[in-house]
Amino acid sequence: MLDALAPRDRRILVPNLRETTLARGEVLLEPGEDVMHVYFPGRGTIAALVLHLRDGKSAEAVMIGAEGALGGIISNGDKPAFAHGVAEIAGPALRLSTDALDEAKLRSPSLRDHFARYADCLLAQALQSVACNAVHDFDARLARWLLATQDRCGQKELKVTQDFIADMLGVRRPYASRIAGLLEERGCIKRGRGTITIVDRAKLERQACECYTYLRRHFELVLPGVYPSYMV
Amino acid sequence: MVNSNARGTDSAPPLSRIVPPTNQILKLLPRAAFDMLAPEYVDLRRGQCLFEPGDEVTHAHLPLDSAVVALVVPMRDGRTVEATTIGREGAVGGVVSRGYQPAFTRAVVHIPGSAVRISLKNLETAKRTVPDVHDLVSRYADCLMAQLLQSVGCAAVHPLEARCARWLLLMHDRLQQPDLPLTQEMLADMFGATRTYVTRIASSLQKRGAIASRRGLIHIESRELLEETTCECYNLVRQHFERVQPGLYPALEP
Repeated sequence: MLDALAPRDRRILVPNLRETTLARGEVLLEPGEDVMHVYFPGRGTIAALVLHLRDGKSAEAVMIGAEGALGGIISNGDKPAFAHGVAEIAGPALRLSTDALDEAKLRSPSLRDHFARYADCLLAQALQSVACNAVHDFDARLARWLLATQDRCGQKELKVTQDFIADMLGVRRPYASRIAGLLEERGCIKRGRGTITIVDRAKLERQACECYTYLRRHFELVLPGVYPSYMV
Repeated sequence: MVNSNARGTDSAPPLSRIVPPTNQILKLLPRAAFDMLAPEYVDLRRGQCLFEPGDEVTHAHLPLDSAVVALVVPMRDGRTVEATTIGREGAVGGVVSRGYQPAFTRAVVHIPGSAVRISLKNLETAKRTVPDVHDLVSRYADCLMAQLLQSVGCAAVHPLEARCARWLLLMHDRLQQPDLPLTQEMLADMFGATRTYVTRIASSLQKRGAIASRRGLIHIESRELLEETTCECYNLVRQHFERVQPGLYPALEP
């Protein structure tokens, strides 16, 4: 997302960007706490907004990689966070104070426009996922999630456990494991210890629901070239 | 198609007719910004589309009174699934994107009524020149996003009965009266569920005395029972509204 900024706009942000490394599970936003920082996951790093529901259940609401940022993107910062912001896949990230971002947006209309465009893509992600979770079968949703994860981490081998997937997709662990087994039988993935390898991406794309393509297309329309494509 | 309701304003009643405004955003907007915003009064007919996916969005619509607009996602198989509803607490179109971007969803009027529309060009000018307008719109956008984020989790995890109860409570809050002009068929379409399934849930809610189905409308018999049936999502989102912008969420009049 930052790479796609005009050089002039990038220069405005650079003095305030801090390099950091996100550990798996690191909490970036806590519900109810004021958002003070925006995080930009680097290539390969994945963060998410996660909801903790009653009875120990949880679900991922949106996934965010190098195409985006989390922390005050929609609200323009300085408001209590609603969801947990968590690092899903460890890696580098850049951090910026929301004050510095606000100031930069005042200075540059094109920078403000860039962030509004990404906010629109993030909103689209949430809109699509409400509908997807309401009507699509779990194997299609799992395939969609694996594709989105691979786009962002850029690896064949995803460092995720089946339990983690169950928690992110809001299903019981044995069920997640059974459906992952189904995708394995169909030759899309291979399950390892703490990893899932995508062995045939084209096949996996055919298992996924249309939500995956719809969102990619919206990203391409609104922010051309920003969505990370996984090269086979 | 830009806007199917881009009707002239010749016949529109003067804005004074909507004072006091029954849209929470209008209520909170600084009066000084009204001239700049040049809001126009429009009617919303049931089933009317405000925009389709891919359309350029040029106006924000702020539903008044009982009008409710849904953002729906058309799926490959022809189903259209509701992602959220927006009533008197909010605004439809360009709130986050600032407009002039292709719309991602379809916006369709679920419950007819009136609305005020504001051109996004005027809204952007007002946001730039009146900090309170910018702040209010950002706060509403944050609440809308919170509602969506919660709904992603809710749709993944919670049973349809709890989700139905949540949906009915949201409608009750916006319409401020217990007769919701909706049929069970409409409810089924919104949830992307089969009609038989929704009918079963509706009759279970009816048996327990929470709702009553009448010709073309659903009557809320007991709000308390719906609150007992719904998931935590209803309260979490409501609390977020109240924390981020007091007065934005429509409070039921006692």
